[in-house]
Amino acid sequence: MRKKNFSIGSVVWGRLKKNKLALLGAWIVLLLSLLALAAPLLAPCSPFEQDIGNRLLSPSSRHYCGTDELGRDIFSRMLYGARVSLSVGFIAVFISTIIGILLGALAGYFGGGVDNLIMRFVDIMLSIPTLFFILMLIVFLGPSIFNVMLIIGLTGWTDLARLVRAEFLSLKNREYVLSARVAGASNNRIIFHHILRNALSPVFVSVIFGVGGAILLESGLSFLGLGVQPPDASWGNILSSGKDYIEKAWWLTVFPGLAIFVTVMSYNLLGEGLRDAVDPRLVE
Amino acid sequence: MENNILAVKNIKKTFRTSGGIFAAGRSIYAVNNVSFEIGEGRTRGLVGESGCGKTTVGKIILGLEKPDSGEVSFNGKKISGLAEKELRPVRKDMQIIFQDPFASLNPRIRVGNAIGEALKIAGAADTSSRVKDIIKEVGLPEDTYYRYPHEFSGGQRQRICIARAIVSRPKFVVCDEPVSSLDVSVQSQIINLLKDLKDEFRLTYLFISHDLRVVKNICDSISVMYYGNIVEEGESEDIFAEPRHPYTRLLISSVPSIATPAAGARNRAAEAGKKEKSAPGRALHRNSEIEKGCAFYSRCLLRQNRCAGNIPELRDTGRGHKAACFLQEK
Repeated sequence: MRKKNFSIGSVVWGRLKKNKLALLGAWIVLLLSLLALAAPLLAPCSPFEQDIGNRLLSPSSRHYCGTDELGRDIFSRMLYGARVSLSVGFIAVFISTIIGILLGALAGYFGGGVDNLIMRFVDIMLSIPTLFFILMLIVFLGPSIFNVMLIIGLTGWTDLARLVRAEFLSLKNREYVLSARVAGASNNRIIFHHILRNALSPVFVSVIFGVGGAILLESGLSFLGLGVQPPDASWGNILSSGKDYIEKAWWLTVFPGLAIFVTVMSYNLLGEGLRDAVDPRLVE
Repeated sequence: MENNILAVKNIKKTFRTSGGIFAAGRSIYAVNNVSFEIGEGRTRGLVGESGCGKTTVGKIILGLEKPDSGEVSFNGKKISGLAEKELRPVRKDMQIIFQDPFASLNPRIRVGNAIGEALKIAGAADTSSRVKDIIKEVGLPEDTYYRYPHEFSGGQRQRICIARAIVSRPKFVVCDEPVSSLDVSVQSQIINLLKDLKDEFRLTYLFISHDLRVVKNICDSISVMYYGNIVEEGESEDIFAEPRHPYTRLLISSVPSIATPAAGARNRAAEAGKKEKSAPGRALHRNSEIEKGCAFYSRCLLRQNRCAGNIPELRDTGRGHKAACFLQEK
């Protein structure tokens, strides 16, 4: 009874702290974000500056990750690529989170015809292979960073909508919601003030996983030449241009590949840990 | 005569179960033709076993469920069938206290804000002083305002729910099993609090419960429900002194008592009688059975042939004490 006033956030953080892998993921995510933000300060060379005389140099103390076929410093390009990859990840997930929450909340709260309409649309979205759908849209809209963010965002909300809908279905008949209705609360107030706050922890977990997924998708698209266009750097397109030299210059593919792997892995570890930490059934 | 603040007339509610792919959906009578009135300032008990439709009646009164037919009037004005918007002005006069004090408080909202919500919705600018007054009124410590629901015990949470229900000065409160989930020692505290508040704020209660001891303690009049029907109603003392319907007798005799050894023996006898004659497997009826005869037929110790084919009506047996049983028709 006489416990100190603690919030849900501190409970979650307390649990997360005990999960070493999730904590590792969190630190790497933080580190990567800082590196990306500080790219102009940290990069030893310009990511665009070509130096044909020094092409395909192996890693050394001057070029930490070697140089590419045009003599550009891979380490600098990867730092700038991190900015692209992370911002695509965040903005795409931001878009899909907004759509997913809104549609999921509407479907779950109102039920009936609204629910049917939204969920059948979700079924249609889920029955189209995502990658081919995205490729098709990009062919129409043209490849650019902005379009990649938009398209990944517009196609990635379906799982979240289902998740939010399920949360709303189970929460909308809770007695505190009924009590708010008796007090005369409007639908808006009930949805956003009463239900959504209690549905946010699974949403948060899915957002973290979503960022990892979006980064992976962006890398794939850039690798195929449909994402970020040269000379702008992204991990995917560094990898793509490096693949032609894979026998002569391993560093062109290994380092960006490793960057993608470590980043996505960290987001997944963090997401996994968060999922356990916000699970109300696990009470210590 | 006193004014009736609430009148419920012939309300019916049927829930349909969707049968899935292979079975047809079934409809279940939750509430079947229920009528009663509550006089201003009185406490009406609504008694029955779980699943008999008590809670559904409460929800219909508050507009949380729509009745299939019948009407609810509040202060002489018909409120069933109103759209949510038209209902809002009436809302501030009606409130509810739920059974489970753990499910009825939003875990993410500070207690002070939860209590003040009805005031805020009604448009009050400063709610905090009213909320702090009411927190004191229901016997909670002052710092309750800034704390979260999980920091409180069940009894304290129920006090919070009571505070939330009465802060907007309603005229009528539905108490849906407000003490059933509490320890017995806490139960009486909450009951006394409800009684005190009733006098102080001139409240009218509909007190839904399965616990006759509690009902006897707080209610002026009682309606006994069985399977969606009211089988007996009347003044509290009349019903306890002279229960008319076999179901009411069963309920009263099954109240565990530690008062006298004789009562214990009586209970054991009743218990034995129940085991012998009532077939629990038959407790769940098909609707066709209910439509044809008395709902209590399959469990009744005194059933007769006419009970299977005819539905007994609720008849006055004197002093407003009504029962729906053929045995009362002389």
